[in-house]
Amino acid sequence: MLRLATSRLGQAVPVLFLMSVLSFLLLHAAPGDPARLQAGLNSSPQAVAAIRRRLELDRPLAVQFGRWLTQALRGDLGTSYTSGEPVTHLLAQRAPVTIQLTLVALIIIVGVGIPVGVLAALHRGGLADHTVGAVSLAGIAIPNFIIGLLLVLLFGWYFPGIMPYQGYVSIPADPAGGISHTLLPALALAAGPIAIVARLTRAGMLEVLGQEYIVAARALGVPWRQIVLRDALRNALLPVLTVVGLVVGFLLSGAVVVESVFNIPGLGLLLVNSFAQRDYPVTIGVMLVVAVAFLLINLITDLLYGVLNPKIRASYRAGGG
Amino acid sequence: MAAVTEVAPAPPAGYEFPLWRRLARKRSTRVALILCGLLILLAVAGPYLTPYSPDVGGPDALAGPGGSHWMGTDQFGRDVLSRLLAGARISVFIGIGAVAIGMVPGSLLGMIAGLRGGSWLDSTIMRVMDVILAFPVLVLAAVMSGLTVGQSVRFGPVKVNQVVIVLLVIGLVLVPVFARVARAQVLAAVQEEYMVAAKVCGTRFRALLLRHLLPNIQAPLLIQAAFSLSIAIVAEAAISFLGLGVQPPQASWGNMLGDAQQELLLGAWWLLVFPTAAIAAATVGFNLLGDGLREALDPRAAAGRLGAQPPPTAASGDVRPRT
Repeated sequence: MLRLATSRLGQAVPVLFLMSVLSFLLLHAAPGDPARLQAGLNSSPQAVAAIRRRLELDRPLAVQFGRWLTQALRGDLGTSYTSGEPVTHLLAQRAPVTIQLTLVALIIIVGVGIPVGVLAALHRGGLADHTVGAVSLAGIAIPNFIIGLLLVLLFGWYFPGIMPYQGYVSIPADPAGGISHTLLPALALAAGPIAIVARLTRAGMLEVLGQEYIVAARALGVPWRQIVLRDALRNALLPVLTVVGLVVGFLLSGAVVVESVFNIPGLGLLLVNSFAQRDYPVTIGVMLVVAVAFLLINLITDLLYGVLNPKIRASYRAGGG
Repeated sequence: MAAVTEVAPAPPAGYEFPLWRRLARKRSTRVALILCGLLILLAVAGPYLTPYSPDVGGPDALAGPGGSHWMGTDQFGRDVLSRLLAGARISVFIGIGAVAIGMVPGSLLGMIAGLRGGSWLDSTIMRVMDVILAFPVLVLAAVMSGLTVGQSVRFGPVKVNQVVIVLLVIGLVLVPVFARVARAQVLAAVQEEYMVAAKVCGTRFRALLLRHLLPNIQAPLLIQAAFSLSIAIVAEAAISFLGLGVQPPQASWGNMLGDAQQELLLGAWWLLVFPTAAIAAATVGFNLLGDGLREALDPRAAAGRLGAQPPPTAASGDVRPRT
C-alpha cells in the first residue's frame, strides 16, 4: 500500500513539472499583453515598458520560468499582477469556497445516488427503477451550468425569496445561511453525477445479487436486509467508488462554470477572471492547485480501492500505467 | 460526462445482421438515430430555413414566443429560432471535428503505447496523456480557448477563427481519452492467439497495428466516439457560455445561454429553455447512440446497464429479491 502511494506520488512529480512548463509556455505565447492591460488603454509606451520591466516580462522566457520554478519550489507562487497580493494568499482565500461547494455536492451525490440505485436494483422494472432511468437520462443530458441557470430562473423569477441564488456564505461561519446559499449550486453540480452513481450502484447490485454467495447466504437463513446492506452493497460499491473519484474531478471542473452562474467567489471564478486580465501568476496557480487536487483524488481513489478489495492490490504491481 | 467509459474487450466477430439493423432493433436506439439524424439535417439545412438573419437584431427586443418569432427574440431583437439553427451547425461542426481530432491521433498513440507496453515509448506517451488529463477537460479547454478570445490566430498561411480554435482545443483534450481506451484494448488483445500468431510470423509493426489490431479494437473506440460527441457539444456550450468560445454576434448554443443569463431575472425563459432543449436533445441522442452501439457491438459490457437484460450469470435466474 505504502509502496503504491509513493510510486504514484513519484509519477506525479514529472507530470506536474511538464504541466507547469506547458501552462507557462502556453500563457506567455498567447496573444494579449498583461503590461498593456495593466497600464490602461491610453497609456504611453514608456509607461507600458516600465510596467513590463517591473513585472519582469522583458526577461527571456526561460529566465522567467526558472525564477518562477525556484520560487514555486519554495512555496511561493508569485504575486498577482492586478492586486499585488501573493498568489498563495488568493488561493488560500478562494479554495475553501470551492471545497465547500464540492463537498456539499458530493454529500448530495452519495446520499441520494446510492440509496436510489439500491432501490432501483431491488425493485427492478418497478416505479423506482423507471424513475431512475428517466431522471438519470435528464441528469446526463442537461449540463450542470444549465441546471444552475434553470434554478436561478426558478428561484430568482418564479419563486423569489425562498432560496438565495447568488453569492457565498461560509458554512462554518454561519451554518444556516451557508447551507442555504450552497444548496442550489451544489444541486446543480450534483444532478449529473447522482444519475451516474445511481446507475452504477444499480448495475453493481444486480450483478452481485446474482452471485452464488448471496444464494448461499439466503439458503443459510441470513436476513435479506442484512444480505443487501452488508454483503451485497459492499461489493457493489467497488465500481461506484472509482467513479466517485472521477466525479470529484468532474465537480472541480464543473465548479468553474457553476461558480460563475451563481456568482460564487471560488477558484473557478478566480480562474476565469485572472485569465481575462492576463494575470498569469494567478492563472498558473489555480491550474496547478486544480491539477494537484485531481492527482491526489485519483491516488486516494486507487488506495481506497485496494483497501476495500485485497484482490486488486496484487494486480497493481502487474498493471503499471 | 464521464471522461472514459470502461469497455470490456471486443467480442469475437461474426454477426448475423448488418450493424444498422441490429442498432434499429432497440427502441431507444431508434430514438437516438432519429435525434442525431435530425440534428445533422438541421446543421446542414439550417441556414436555408432561418426565417431571419441570426446575427442581426430587429426592432422588438425580448419578445416572447409566438406570432412572427416562434421562439421569441433576445435582448438585441434577434430571432431565437434563427440563432438556434445557426448554433446547430456550429455545435455539429465542433462536435464532429473535435472527435475526429481526438480519435485519430488518440487511438494511434494509445495503440502504439499498448503494443510497446512497458517500454519507454509506452510510458512517455502515457505520461504526456496524463499531463493533459491532469486538467479537468473543461478547465483546460476554457483556458486554452480563452487565451485567443476575439483574435484570429495564424498557422503559417492558414488563418484560424475562434470556432476552429474551440474545435482544436476540445479535440486535444479528447486525445488522452481515446489513447487510454485504445491502450487498454491493445493490452488485452496482444494476449490473443491471432496477435501471437501474427507476431510469430514476423508481421511488421505497421501491419500489426493497422491490419490486425485496428479491426479488433474499433468497436470500443466507436462507442467512445459517440459519447465524446456529446462531451464535445457540452464543452462548446460551457466554454462559449463563459465568453471564451464562439464570439458574438455569431450564434452558438453556448453563447445564447450566456445572453440568457443576463435576462434571467427578467423572466425571459424562452432564451434559456430552447437552447437547453437543443443541447439536451443532442446529448441524449449521442448518449443513447453510444449505449445502442455498445449493446450491438459489445453485448458483454452492455449487460446490467440501464434497460439491458440482466447479466447472463448462471445464478441470476435463481434469485429474485423480495420486496
